[in-house]
Amino acid sequence: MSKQDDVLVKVQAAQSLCSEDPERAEVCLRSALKDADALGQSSATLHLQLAELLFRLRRTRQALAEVSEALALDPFNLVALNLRQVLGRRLR
Amino acid sequence: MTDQILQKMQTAQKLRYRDAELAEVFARSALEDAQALGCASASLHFLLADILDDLRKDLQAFAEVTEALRLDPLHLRARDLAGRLATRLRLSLRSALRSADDPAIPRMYEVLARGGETTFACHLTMIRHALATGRIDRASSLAEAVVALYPREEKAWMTLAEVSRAAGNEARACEAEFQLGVLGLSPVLPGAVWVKA
Repeated sequence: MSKQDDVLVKVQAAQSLCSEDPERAEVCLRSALKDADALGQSSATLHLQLAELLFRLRRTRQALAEVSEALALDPFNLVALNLRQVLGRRLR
Repeated sequence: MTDQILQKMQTAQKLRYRDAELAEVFARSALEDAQALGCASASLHFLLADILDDLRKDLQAFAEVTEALRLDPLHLRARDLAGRLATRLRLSLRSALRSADDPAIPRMYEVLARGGETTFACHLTMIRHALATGRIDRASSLAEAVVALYPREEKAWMTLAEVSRAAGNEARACEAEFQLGVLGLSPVLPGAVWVKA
């Protein structure tokens, strides 16, 4: 299995864990982000996935940081733009 | 300008199930505007790919989703779409209904190769096309690459022999036929070492 596949497995694991065990899902996603970074890859959807999870965990500031990362990589990601609005309202 | 791009994307999304062709126009326009601003966006390429998939424009959809994955290699929905499109394109490329000199073959082959989705059968189809259209040098270089990639495939050596003969390289054709004989006479055993003669 390649390192890229390892990252994908972690992302898929996080997806299946996010409703029953969001804390473990977060660990998987952060680990996937670290691995992707080591491979020189950046992924807006990975940051967005983490932002959505943190939003559900009500960790608004951390979620906002992740959504900003996602938008820096992909400024026209509509889901990320909507989430940023919602997070902004929650912070006010 | 950014707001205009977002509006076009939203319009494309709203329209895609009612009027996919018009949705394509909006998505393409959004993509062009973003490119004019020097902005790369996996979401824009993915949206266009998704709409093109609905329209069954497989080749264009695959090119767009490949670009989305170049920008965001961990985009899971893009990976799923790329996999489905690649399967359809490979089947279409190798279709028995397609003549060997069909001009669509090199286009499809190139797009699949750019996405890393070519297989042994795709390479053989491309070699057949190069032969059928008189591009013997291209056929030779591909056939050599194929035997290097798939040294245990009899068809790879058969093709190299045929292409070498067409190129007037009888010596290489004989070498390929010799390798074919080696393969044919020696059953492939698990763990056996294939010795190049």
